[in-house]
Amino acid sequence: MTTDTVSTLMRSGEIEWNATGELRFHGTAQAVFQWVDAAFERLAREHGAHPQSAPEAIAGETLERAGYFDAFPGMGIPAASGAAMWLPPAVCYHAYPDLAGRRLDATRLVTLACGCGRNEPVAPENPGRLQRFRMREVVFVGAPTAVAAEREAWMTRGQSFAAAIGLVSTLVPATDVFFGAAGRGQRLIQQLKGLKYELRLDAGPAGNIAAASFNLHESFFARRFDIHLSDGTIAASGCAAFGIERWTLAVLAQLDPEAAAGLALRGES
Amino acid sequence: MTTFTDALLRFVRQDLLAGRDVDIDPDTYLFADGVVDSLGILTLIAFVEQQCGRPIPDSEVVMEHFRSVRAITQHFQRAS
Repeated sequence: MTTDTVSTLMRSGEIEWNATGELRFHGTAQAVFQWVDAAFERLAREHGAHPQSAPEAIAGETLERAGYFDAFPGMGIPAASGAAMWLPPAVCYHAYPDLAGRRLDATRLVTLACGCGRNEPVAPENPGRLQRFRMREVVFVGAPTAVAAEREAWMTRGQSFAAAIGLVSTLVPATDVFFGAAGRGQRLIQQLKGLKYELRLDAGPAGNIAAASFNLHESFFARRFDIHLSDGTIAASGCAAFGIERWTLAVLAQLDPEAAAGLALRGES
Repeated sequence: MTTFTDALLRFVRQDLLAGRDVDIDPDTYLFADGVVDSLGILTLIAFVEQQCGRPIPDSEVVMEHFRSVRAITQHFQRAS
């Protein structure tokens, strides 16, 4: 394992951290980034997720309806076009408006990706924590048992994907609040119910970072967006989220440079 | 049925589920969607702390110990 490769690439400029909390990749690092991005899209489509476009900005009205500003005050980053539009804090926020008011007769699976933004504290010493990053998600909406089963399947797929490309990963329960009211109560509810799991990868100077999360939202978003099952009961939702920059750092940190370059050249997962 | 269980059942019925039509017995799963919410869990923990006379660290707030009134009683009565 060559855990100093990322530091070497940062010194050489192939990985560039900038003060807006964003990583830019060049050369082999960029090829790995593109490979990771394409590989997760392929994985999602192979498992039945319907691809959907995701704009690089989202309406404040949508985030308001999803309870984002209440749960995470001060974390939003306005898009360049003005305060009415924001950088999506997670790409799944684009999925719910399309399902608003619908009555679902089967589990809906969609996959989407875009640049996201969160007003996180960032520092060059911690290149894994970003304000602007690319995220691929698979979002599942349907009956609670089907959504839970889908989440389980994606936890297995995430681990298998990491192992298949030679990455060591650890799946752990997560306690950071990811929806609803922030605070100890929501954190403990999440902990009790196992609503969020993270797949953690060693990423050199970025440390052991959460590169994917597998989440159950129960009926939180379905209630806000009025999404029901065909029998009239409220739907549940969940998602699997993959941070493309973090996976790229982990590939570069854990694989030897030839293997990482080979992966990028391979083209197919 | 112990005093601890009685007191806990009464608390869940009267305080946590006040006004809601949910039938509760010692084995009822307390964390079905919408039964005990993020505020409810904090008041439940505060009540159990008061009953067992010690603080409950977050690391002890796991489903094994909080699934039902019976699970809470079994763990916290023994551990107090």
